[in-house]
Amino acid sequence: MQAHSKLNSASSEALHQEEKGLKPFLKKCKSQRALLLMTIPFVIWVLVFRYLPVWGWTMAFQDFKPARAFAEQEWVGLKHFIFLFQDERFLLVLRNTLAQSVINLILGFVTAIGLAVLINELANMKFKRVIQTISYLPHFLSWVVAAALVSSVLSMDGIINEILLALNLIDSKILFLGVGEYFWGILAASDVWKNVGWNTIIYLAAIAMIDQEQYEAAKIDGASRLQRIRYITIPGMKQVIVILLIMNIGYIIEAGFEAQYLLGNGQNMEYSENIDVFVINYGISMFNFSLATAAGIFKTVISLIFLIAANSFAKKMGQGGLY
Amino acid sequence: MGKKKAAGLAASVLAMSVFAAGCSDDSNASEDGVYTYTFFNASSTGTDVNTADTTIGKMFEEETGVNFDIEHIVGDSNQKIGTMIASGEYPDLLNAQNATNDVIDAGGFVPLNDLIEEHAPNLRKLYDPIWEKMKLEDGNIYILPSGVSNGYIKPPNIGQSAFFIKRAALKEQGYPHPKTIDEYFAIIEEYAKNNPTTEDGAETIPYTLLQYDWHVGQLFDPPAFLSGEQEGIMIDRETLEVNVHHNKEITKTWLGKLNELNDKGLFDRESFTQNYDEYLAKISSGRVVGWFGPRWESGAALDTLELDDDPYNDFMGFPIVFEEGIKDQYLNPESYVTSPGMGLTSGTDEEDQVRIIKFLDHMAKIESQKLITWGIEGETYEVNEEGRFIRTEEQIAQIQEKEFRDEMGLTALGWYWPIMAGVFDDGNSVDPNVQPEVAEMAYDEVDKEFLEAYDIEMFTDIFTEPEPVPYIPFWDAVIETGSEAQLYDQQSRDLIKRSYPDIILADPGAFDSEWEKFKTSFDQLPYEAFEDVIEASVKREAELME
Repeated sequence: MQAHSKLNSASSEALHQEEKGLKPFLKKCKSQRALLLMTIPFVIWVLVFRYLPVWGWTMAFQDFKPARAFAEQEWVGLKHFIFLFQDERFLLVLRNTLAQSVINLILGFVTAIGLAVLINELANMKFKRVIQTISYLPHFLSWVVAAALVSSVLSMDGIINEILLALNLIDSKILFLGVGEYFWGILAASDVWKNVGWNTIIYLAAIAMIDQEQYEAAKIDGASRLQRIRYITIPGMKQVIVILLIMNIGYIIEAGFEAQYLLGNGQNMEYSENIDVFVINYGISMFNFSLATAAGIFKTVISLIFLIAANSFAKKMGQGGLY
Repeated sequence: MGKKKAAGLAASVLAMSVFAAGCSDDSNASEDGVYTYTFFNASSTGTDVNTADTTIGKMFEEETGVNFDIEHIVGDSNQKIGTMIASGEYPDLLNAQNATNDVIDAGGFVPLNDLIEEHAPNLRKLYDPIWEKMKLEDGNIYILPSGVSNGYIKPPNIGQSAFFIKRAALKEQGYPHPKTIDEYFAIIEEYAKNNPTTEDGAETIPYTLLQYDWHVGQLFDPPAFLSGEQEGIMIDRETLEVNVHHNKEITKTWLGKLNELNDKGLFDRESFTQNYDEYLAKISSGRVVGWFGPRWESGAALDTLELDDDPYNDFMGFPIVFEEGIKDQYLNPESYVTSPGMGLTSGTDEEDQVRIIKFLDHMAKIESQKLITWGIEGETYEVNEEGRFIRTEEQIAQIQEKEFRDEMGLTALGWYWPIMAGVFDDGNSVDPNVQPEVAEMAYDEVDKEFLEAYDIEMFTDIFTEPEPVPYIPFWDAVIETGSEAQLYDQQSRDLIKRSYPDIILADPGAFDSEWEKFKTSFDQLPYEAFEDVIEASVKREAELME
């Protein structure tokens, strides 16, 4: 990878400082051949798992049947894309995907950064370790287990209903998973519970990189604890936050699949069904691999647009992008 | 040095991947000449087992030198089979449940006609009644279904659909006999009023239904059953015209009844959010008073209830109809199922195919059929002087234990393999539980109390005898991948899943408008394409069976 980025930059402005031509390039390759050799397995990996499958995109333009050879497949042009965009469900599904994603993204960022800052402020090391461990344990649960927990906690006889009743906050029990409007909230909350601890790890690492002398200097200048967080900790994490944000925005169309599939039901379907669930139901389950591929292409294009947009936005804001 | 290491690493990675690829080619034969094959069963969940680890499976292995590793489905069968199709890698034997036609389309199953004619005379004889019907349009037979009909015998207990009601409710109200849906709900209402909680303090659930994944029958099927139709779809006996009923008046009536029930607070509001496990837990908790469905769907829960020491928390099934005068058709007539079933898959060597088909042929012999249904004579059943098969009380108790059935091989080798249904030529029932002598013996004191109260000998005596129809069951019709009919199937399920809860849980004043909203959306679906496919299949089957 190193060699690649070097190559890229060689074709830009930096060009003037370096010698042009094939010879110096080969010379450089020779001097870095150990590095180049080491990248080979990864380049192969990328080619095999990221570029070869792109050939499969041809399926989206066929009525693909697994038993037929490639030459015998029936070509149907944009039929599957048209089906996707004409289906009124698809727009709804798209709305759900984006809404779930955006809510998860914002809530996930705020809570993870918040928790990281709080953990960092803890003075008692033992307590700090305990909190960290407890908060990231749920990350290791599979969604199948997590969803079963969530649905039993939220059931009519579940603990949430009992607590709300005991506190006189509600008059009668609420069927949380039966009300579509609650679904996005439930999903986001479950996601935070499951992943917040795990997501703090990278922020804690970023905080650890901040020079302790800055804190000491601020202390001498009489900065309060909150001021130190605001003027030192948060700005110190900024670079990491921006990079993660750009990367996550690239995944905005991937709102996840398991949680929605497992917690979804007829009553909350208007809010729970997202692109991945739709693709399972109308693509894979119906053996319509072509439709599933068409939806996959659509997702890739959207992801790419978001990624490029977020990156150039970050650059304009003076934060330096991913590339 | 550094370079060499790096190059060595890259080389070893490559070498390992080549090695791993080379190893995946395995052989079925073991040292002692016994062949082990794989059988993936997408129609059933259960414990994975090798047939030779069971008593009967071991006997078969000794005869044929073949045993099977049976794997069961976990999760959604269409997804699992979809992956198999996409990869082109199949187990040796496959039961692909709903996806059977898709595997055939993808060339995953091999034609069995010649294999059977050449190597399997017993199998050929077993399947003779439906041999022609098993052939697809291309003239080939790809799958062997279970339950090949050999004469009709009325089952003593309900295995299929009925409206079930808790025995305690019937006893409390002096054994009423509900015939219409209103009478049925009235009993539930009365009981729920008198017993708001169960003995251990949990709230009573008057009426619940299951609506999860492919378990949709509890909500979809009642309109047809309540109006005296068979099998949950409307088929005109004379013209064989097929109609879906979801947008018809009968469905509106049924949903209206549930809407009323909900308004009275008798309908379980968790019906549409509970999953299969939660539903089973609910039924087995004894809190539920009534539900509709086939017995097998709730079987795991009902068996628990039957084995505990409260005989009044068991359920009794009734053939409920909309109005007095409608003839109920809940019991299945003699049926000729052709799908799903097991098939040999492509990619299995010809020699292996022959070995497998010979194993199946051994299984199709009458004595083997008696082994996989009744077990071993003298151990799990006796034969009396008249040649009737009977079971002693100890044998019945023994066979009720799952562990015993598992060890014997009755779970691993029964249904899903080539197996007869109905009666053996000697007059004994194929299914021991349907044999009157066994069923009678299995009735306990409380069973007898109810039989006496309703003045019947068997629990199915309150059901009308089924009229024989050649095209039953209709659900094995071939629906082509990518067709409009297939699209309808998925779209209608989704629409119904979304809409019925709104209709049922609506305020009674809003019921009509919710129904109209659903009907408008439903009428836009290509349901006629679906009706055409079913109708064509029904007509073809009617013709073949003549």
